[in-house]
Amino acid sequence: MSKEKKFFKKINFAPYIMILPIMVLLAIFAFYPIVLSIVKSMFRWSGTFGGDGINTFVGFNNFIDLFKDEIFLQSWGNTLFFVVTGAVINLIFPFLCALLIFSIGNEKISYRWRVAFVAPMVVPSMVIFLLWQFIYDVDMGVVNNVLALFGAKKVDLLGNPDSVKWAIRFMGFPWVGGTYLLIYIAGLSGIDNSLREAARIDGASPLRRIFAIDIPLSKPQFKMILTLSIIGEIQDFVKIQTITEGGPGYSSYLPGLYMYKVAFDANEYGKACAIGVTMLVVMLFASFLMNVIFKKEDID
Amino acid sequence: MFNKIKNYVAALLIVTCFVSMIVKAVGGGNTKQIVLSFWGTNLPYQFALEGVAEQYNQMQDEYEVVIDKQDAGNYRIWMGGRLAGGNASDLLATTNVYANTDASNGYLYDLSEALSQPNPYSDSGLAWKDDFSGTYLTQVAYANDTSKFFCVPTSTVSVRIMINTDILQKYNIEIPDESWTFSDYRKICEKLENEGYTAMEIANAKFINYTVSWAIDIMMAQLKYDEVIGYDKNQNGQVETEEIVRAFLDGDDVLNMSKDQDFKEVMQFLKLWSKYWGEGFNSRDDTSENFLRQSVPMMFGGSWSVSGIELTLNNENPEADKTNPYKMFNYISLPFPRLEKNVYIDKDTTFTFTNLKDGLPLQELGEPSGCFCIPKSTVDAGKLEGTLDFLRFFTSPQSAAYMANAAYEIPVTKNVEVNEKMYDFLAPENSESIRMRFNLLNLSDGVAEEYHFKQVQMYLMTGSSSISLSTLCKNVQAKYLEVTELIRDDNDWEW
Repeated sequence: MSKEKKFFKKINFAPYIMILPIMVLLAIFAFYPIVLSIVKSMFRWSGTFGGDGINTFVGFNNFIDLFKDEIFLQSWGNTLFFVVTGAVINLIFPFLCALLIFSIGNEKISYRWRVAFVAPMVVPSMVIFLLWQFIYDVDMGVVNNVLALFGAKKVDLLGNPDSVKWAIRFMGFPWVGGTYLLIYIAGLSGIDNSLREAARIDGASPLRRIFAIDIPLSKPQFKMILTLSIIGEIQDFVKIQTITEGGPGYSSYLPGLYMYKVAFDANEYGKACAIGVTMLVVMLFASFLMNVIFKKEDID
Repeated sequence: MFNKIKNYVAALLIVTCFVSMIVKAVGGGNTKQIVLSFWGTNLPYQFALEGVAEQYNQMQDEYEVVIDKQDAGNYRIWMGGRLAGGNASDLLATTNVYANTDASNGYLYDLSEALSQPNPYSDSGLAWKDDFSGTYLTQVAYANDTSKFFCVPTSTVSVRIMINTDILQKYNIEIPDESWTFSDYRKICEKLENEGYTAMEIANAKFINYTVSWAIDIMMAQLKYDEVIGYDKNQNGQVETEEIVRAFLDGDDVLNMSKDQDFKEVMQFLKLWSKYWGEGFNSRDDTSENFLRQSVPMMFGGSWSVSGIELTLNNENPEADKTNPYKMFNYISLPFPRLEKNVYIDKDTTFTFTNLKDGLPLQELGEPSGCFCIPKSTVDAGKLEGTLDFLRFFTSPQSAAYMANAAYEIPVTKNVEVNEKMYDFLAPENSESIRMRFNLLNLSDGVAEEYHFKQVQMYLMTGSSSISLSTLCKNVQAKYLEVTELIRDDNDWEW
């Protein structure tokens, strides 16, 4: 038997064949669109492949136009607001809730609380958005009805540029349920209990134990949640589209919403790809930054 | 050895599944079945559409029409993907803007030849295109070549002011009729405001609410009637894309929104009027709820609200549920009140439109909606004949009457008998109104349309985020120039 035949006989091809379909699908639906959008961001493109559509190479003109575009710049300003406030909320509130649930001594009760906090995840997000829109309604909303009880004037939270972003941010209050809570609980469960025990024996108070053990040892979870939160806030636009459509004016407009509208309402797919590429770059940079910050802290 | 065989069998199964998925995705469907896809959340419309399909299916046995409802939020993405992939449904609900875009990309079948032949489901004996009322068909002509049609409308929408006549009667206010003027309207509002009501509500949260944009259109149509006739170069009763582009770019007397007195006056008038729309009109997405609860006696809304109102009021059953907030009431729908040179706003304010001429026709024609197009993939699949036949049936007087009575859809074809409520929405016979969409509409650029809306919204706001009238006019003109120049260059138009 030749060396080559021996070599091929040694290799088990079955795993490669089994993984091939998913790799093909990934290549078609994940890698190819990324490459295509980078290429097409340098074209004025009406979204067609061949045929009668517009497909003209314009170099970096789409990007230059975007950086002169007030709507685009304002939408990034709005995103910054949502990224910063979202990061603060996602780092603090689900963690506090996870600590409370984790500190319940009775395993059965702790499990029930976990289920209670995770159960709302099954409610379609659209229902939650519309519920909050109703809560903020000027005529019939809960907020204005409560204010009316105290004789206060009606407030138009979603129709006022000064309040709309805060009103949207407040949606989902108390911001504790869902995936982030589970990640924190998993992180807290992964910490060796003997550390807490030792600290307790040494006389450390519960608060001291949280700051000296739980928070430092939950850094991988903080890093993951911070990265997910930033990416999520940059990508998100469904909530805004449903509730305010970026308004009033452009005061709650987001790059994702702009990309959607430029592609599907204006048929300028090249420009939409350019918006997508800028979002991709920002998200990659944010992820890289998180890695650097947390890596540096690990070394320290 | 056995494990190795097992692995190979599993790998083979996965590959087989994958291949069969691809074959199914690209493979042809049932040649006798015509799939009609539409979007929407309007249940009466869906049921009526299913009813029309059922009638057609019972009438003949060569084709079977199947109704496929798609998610409203993602319809455009879904439709665009299917058209690009060549596997779109046989008949697609669309809009004039979408159809223009898809036609320029070469995805749609040109219906102009079919439209020049008689519709076998109509008794008129006329060409199919002549069965359409007013400019409903010409409004959906292809933007780059108005002799081509890539979609046909099956119904229309229109805006009206709906008035709770029970409330007016309660306060001894005379019920107006369709000849009412804006001063008449404001005097009625004032009486209601004195009784503690917000007299009328208007939705202005989103561009898709359309009502404010439509009000601007109606007012501009009256003020610029003579100029609009001049813009209509091919004199077909409709100012199409090329004519709009020409109005902005060609000649010495081009339209300039940053200096146009009529546009400025309409905006100023709108701002004066908006202070009576009630708190929160910039976040109001719907007005029918307050109208149904009778907390607001009038609403400025579209015909699309009627089915919801009728459905709610007809289902009213106070005995079954004492907490039901809806009680039956009478209401009428009137066209937008006619502007006069001097309009009464309130006891301290009269607004003067410098250039308004008396006695001009009011813009009453609606916007074509319920448009349908045939993708080229339908032709390739050999289903053109059947799809066209159903589309002809769908626009017949019989189907239009059915849609009007079952779903309160306004017919776009002639000789259709409709119920009393829908009668108010019909276009006046032999209407002379020439339609030009301002608001950057009819230019196949939804982002520009939204820009116009948002600029107006910011102008109507109060507070630090509000923009001035000059900023609004300057921005709108800049956007008009940007969009029209691009369209001119894309189409190599020279005049």
